[in-house]
Amino acid sequence: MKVSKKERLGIVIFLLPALILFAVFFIYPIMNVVYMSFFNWNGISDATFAGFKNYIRIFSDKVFLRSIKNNIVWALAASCIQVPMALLMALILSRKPKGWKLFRTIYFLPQVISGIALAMLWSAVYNSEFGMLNGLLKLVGLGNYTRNWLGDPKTALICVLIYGLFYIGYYMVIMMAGITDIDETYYEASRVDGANAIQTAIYITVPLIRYSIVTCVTLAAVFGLRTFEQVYLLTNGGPANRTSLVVLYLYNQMKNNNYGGANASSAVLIVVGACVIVSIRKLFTKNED
Amino acid sequence: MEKEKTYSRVLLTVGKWVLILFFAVYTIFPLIWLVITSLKTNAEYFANPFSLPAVPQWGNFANAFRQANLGQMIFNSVTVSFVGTVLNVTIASMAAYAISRFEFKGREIIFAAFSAGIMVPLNALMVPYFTIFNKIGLIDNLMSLRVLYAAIGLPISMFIIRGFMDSFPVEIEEAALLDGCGFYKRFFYFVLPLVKSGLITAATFQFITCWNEFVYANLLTSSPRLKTIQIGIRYFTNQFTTDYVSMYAAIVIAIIPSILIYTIFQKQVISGLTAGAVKG
Amino acid sequence: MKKNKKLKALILTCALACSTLMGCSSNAPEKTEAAKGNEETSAAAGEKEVELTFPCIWVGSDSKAAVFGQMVEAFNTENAGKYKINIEEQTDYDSYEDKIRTLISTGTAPDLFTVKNYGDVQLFAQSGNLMDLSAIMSDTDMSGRFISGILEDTMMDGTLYAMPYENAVIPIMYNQKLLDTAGVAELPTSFEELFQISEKIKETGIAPLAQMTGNNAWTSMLWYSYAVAACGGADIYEKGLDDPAFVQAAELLQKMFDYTSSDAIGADATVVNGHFFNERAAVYLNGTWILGRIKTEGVEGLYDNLKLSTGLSQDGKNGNASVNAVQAYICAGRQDDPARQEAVMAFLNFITDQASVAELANSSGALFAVDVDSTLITDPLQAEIVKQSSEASFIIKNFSAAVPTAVGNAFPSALEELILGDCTAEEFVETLKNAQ
Repeated sequence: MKVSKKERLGIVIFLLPALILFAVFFIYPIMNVVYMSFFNWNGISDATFAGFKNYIRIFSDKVFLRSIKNNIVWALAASCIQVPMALLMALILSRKPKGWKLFRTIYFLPQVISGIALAMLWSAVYNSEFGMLNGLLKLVGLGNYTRNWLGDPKTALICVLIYGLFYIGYYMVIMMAGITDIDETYYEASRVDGANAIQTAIYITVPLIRYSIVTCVTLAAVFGLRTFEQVYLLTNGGPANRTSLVVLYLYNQMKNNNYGGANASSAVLIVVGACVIVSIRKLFTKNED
Repeated sequence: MEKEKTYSRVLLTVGKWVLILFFAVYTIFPLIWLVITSLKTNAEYFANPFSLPAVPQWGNFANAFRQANLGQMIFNSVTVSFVGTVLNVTIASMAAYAISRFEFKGREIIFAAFSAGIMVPLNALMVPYFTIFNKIGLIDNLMSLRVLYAAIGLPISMFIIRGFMDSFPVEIEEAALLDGCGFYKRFFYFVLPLVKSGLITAATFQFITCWNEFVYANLLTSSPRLKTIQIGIRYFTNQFTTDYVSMYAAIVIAIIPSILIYTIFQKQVISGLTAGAVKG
Repeated sequence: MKKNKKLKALILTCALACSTLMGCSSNAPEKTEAAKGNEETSAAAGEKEVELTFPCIWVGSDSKAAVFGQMVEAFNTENAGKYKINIEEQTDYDSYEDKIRTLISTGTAPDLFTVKNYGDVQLFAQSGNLMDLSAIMSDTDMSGRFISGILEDTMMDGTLYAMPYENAVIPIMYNQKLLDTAGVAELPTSFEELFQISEKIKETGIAPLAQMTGNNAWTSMLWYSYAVAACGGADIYEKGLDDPAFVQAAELLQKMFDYTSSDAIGADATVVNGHFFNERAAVYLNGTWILGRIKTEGVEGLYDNLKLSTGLSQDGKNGNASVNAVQAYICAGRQDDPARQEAVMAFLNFITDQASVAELANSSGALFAVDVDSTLITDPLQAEIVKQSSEASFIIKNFSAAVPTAVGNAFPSALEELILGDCTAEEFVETLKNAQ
């Protein structure tokens, strides 16, 4: 819509609070972070100029590179596995099977359970001595497959990653909200044509909620790039830094009083993340044409 | 032909219920484990995390509530999360309206900047955020948390709400415009009700983010009466050990208000959505 | 319908206004309290009450919480109207460290706080925000209470910026019952003997040695400290990481992982404690504070079956070492007001009173930099540990306490690489060196 003079004032007023908060809490600290990433600082003494040294150092650190790789894997897994599962369940529950309200609440529960509890639980499940996973394997006669899941470099990342993928409540709720917004008339038309449930879902519902889907895919990718607590609590980046993530890496830099490295990592993360968000948006809006 | 149709129907129904039940069991399993474990003693927990308690330790809940002063903390978390959410959703929906509905110079840049904000790792910003609130003089004041949470949730809320707004073509509003509806009226009476589900979705996430936030709740407050529930849960950890069963009891207690609030919220969604559908 | 929307908008705005007002009104009293505090500090010395804030980790479920809390209260009562210590509860330790680091970085160091790593003490001292505590040295009454040499060790360029308070003594603990089952009659005195008895214990299906690489790899780090002591002797840390003793010790530690449980990689303290408390592991390392938990959370009779020893020798040398390390230094934020400096010194004096410290030691199982004679300790095993330590051939710090913070932080992941076979013992030490 074109903007009239009267509306211009309205736009400014509406944008102002967001812009102010954004400037104070995002722009100022990020500029601070980026600026300080060119310095060596231990948090206490004066900062010394270091040019690009911090960036060179973190990009030569194989742990940092592995962290980026792990985050990308995480983002891909979340957007390509978790979101489609959430979409499937959203489609199923929107048809209102018996008790759908109850199930929707149950699926959302893990979000309100403290991350500590979930991490402790899965840490116990994966434990090689008394954990449930090995216990179950032994029970069904697959005792040969037992191992130290979180301590074996081959399985650690997958194990830390995969258990969270099945907590689909977050994205399912977004998409269900989108589905309920769909006008009944679309369905009436398709029913007249004799479409069955699956056809309706694929050709009508999914295209109509594409904005919700894009939102979920973007959020999943972003949270994948931004993950911290899950790994911090379960493996702390181990074994031997195999499950390291960028935010964990930068947190460890801070614990070593290396603020230069931490800020450089933050800057890299923000740039990578912004690119991902923009690319996803471009990818999906291209498809519309 | 008939038989094939019913056969595939049965298969679909079975498949559907297998999926529904699988996810239900998977997601409720942690909660069940939590409740059972909070009824054990620490010794039983260390011996085997998956055993049943010999004698249910109901006292763990009373202890946790009393020792960690959970009542006060739940109250603090509720006020912080509520205000943080209302502030956040109000500001985000206003900004999303401006960006979604109107073309003006720099609109996409502003939106891109906000989106980049989603990526910011909050852990790295302890020093800048502490400095900001120190300068304003809001250290050890819950207002700092409310403002901080409202601000850091802006990128995601704006993203979600804009997504919902975009799904309604602008033409709908032009009709209202011709009717003489001004800028603000269109926003309040027309657009907001349309994206109600988007608002509720954004509000839900924002509320949960506020509720679960720990790092800054701990950093920016020090008085015991200002602590939030997340700090309360960690009351039972100390430098070397953790009193796990009491901690789990505290977590279970902390979940109850959030479930209550979520259920009430969802009721609102249902009533709001059906009203919206009729109007549609 | 329009009316409904209007009503909802109105309610929302009212709620918003109310909450903001609530925020404002709770703001006001806090501001006046802060203002009052400022008034007091700028008032003439000795006339108004000096309040010191102490974000403290010895609260909640910490074993020292009860008695330490009483000590603070006693101080406040004794000095009512003159000095007051406000304890701010800090229970999550990692967040506590983050908070202190942030506070000092932004120039708002708390009045009193604790620091674990000496490396951090040195760093904080550089900021100029720490109070000079050298007065402790010149007060012969006070300095005489400490274990000999511990205050001198803490000094930096002739100035004392931190007071060592909690001191850990780490014995090697054996479950005699499990040893008996394996046919082990005597406790080992050397690493060679340790491996021999581990072979025997392994055959009984129990994990001989408890090890962990998760979090800060505490148990394994302590083993490494004993290995370093055995390979390098008393002054090994002064020789630096280039000394071959560190590589030798790494090889010993590597071998120890052949005799541990399958979940050692990635295990944290919960797992290791679980194994030892439930008799799934035979040999264990931890400080005296664990004794209380062994009594309450261990299996029946575990406490009575415990046997203790000091360090082991390697190649017949350097046996009978005792790994000690300061667990907590107390620092004070810089005070410009002499009245506040007096308050800090008075408090430090009060909490280092030998009788109080003995009571604290007995109630919590912890040990302190203030010398408490083993005859005053009520718990028999704790007393024996103190005795063994005082009769040790030499005392040595644990590895994390003796090296820079970054090296200590790099230890767990370097250890994992070593055990997984990703690197040799030499490369392990290289990684640690490069972390500096």
